[in-house]
Amino acid sequence: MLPLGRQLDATVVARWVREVRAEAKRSAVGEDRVITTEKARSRYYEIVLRALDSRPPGADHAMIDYSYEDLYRRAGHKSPSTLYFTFGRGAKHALADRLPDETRRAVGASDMVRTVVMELKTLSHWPYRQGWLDALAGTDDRRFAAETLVRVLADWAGANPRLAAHADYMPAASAVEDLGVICGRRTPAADITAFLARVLTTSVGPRATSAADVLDLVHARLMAVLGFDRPGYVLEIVRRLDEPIGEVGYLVSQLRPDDRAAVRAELEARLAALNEVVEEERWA
Amino acid sequence: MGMRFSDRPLSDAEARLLARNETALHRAETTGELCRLAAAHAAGAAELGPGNPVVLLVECGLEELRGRTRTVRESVRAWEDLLGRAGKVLAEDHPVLMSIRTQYIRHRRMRGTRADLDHGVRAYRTEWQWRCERFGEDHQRTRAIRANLALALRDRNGEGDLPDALRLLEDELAHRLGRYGTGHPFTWVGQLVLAQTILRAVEEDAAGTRAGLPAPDAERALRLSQTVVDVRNSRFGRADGATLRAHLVHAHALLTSGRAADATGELHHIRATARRSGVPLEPGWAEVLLARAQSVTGDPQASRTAREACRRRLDHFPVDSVQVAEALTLLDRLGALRP
Repeated sequence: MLPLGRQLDATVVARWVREVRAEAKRSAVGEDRVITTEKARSRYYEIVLRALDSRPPGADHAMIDYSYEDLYRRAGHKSPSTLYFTFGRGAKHALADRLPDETRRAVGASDMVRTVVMELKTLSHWPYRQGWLDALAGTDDRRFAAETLVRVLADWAGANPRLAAHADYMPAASAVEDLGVICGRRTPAADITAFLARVLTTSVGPRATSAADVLDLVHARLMAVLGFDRPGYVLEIVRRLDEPIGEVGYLVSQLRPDDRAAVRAELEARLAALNEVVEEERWA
Repeated sequence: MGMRFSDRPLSDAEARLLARNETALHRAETTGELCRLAAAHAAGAAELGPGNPVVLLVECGLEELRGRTRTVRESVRAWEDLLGRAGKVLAEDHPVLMSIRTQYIRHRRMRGTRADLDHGVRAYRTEWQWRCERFGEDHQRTRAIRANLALALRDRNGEGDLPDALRLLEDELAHRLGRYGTGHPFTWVGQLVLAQTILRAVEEDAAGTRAGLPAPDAERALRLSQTVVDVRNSRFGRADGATLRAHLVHAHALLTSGRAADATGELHHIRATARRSGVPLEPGWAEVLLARAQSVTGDPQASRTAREACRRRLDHFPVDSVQVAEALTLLDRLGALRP
């Protein structure tokens, strides 16, 4: 299997963002064909953000209280054609079109407005994702990757509480896809989305004190989503120990008996600690 | 409410660094390994400038971790320097500056001289009053400082300090249980520091009764600390620093409840686990408790353990600190018991 970092680099959303960024650059240097689409894309994102910013502090930001007609009218368009050309089915750079059906349905991009919101959330979260990947570099530790994904998502939500809550706490599509990769694609997208929505609800709610605390609050559920409450993953790691344990066995056989005692003591201490955990009756 | 870093939108570069920091911290908090965090800081300072709030936040995390392997005096100097630099570029109520200010007060208090302990109480009280006015009494940052004030009072232990500390912490725990619930890390911290303070009160001969509070109860401290041990064990595993710290309070509660043999067993386990996993505990804490437990059970190792406690404390705290005084007093007492 590819290392985790390479898998995360090759997700649908990662490829989409690279394309959209490339288009935005071409738009900036004035390629006419591109200008209209990219300007429209940015324009629609701004309209959603302005709609959120204009709400009073106690408003329900989870709610969408505007329609697709509101979107294209506020954009100064007389018809929805630009909206559909930019975000709709068959549009060249529509994220909704790229995502697998299961993911698109799970994320909740069920209509044009929610599709725009989905793209906006994904792009807003993107620099956070990049920072997460910067620090993940080289690790294949799935628990570490998942736990830090949650902390970083919580940070994004803390900095963008209204956007995080919007459209019923829809998570960034990148986070849904990334957690799916980390889970080895064994967990349904709907379960992942529901879990990440809970992360967002917690992050913008009254009990949010820090990203680390948000992780603590949802951690038990994260372990279930990852499937770590079942033996599959830990057995996978145990089997990976065959090689280093085999090497230890070979190297120990090269030692004098006196020197083997020191190795035995180190091994016994570790096995004793592991045995204590294995025999702990937490579920009793 | 509690997590907003800044009132202005973060730039993409700042957001990226914030996330990189959050991720690097996750590993560093467990392993104490600084490299990734140091690399994030260097990259951030080069791109955004050393005075950028996110860069200062990363530096904050770095200094906390560096504190594990240097003396308290060195840490106080480092935090004082960081406070001076951050104070020039950040508003008084910026979350990063507030964190740095708190850390400076905390480390200065940890330096442990009488003047430092007095300063801790004054500084936390001032900070608390300022936060009450700025954010309100029930804001999480105000509540956190209030608990710190209680700890400063407890450790100063002047006339009336311990009953005041108990009162503040009882109120604080009630608030946290009501607002955050039993399953929240903020509540767990409240439970643990109250347990420690109850144990101090028990050992100081029930100071709380004079203040109209219930008599300090070692069994209650045992229950409170057991709760935190269980949740942290479940969440972090038995070898994590947070779990081991809760375990130390639990062992202390066993000792104070008259179960010295059980306390000894637990303390041996804690020390072995910390050694194996490379988790740093507050220098001398486990050794002081172990020496006391061993002296109760008549274990001849008690003096040797007390000497180790003194050595660890002298390596980390100033010679005129209360922490060193505690270890030396214990050694003295055990030495006096030798025939």
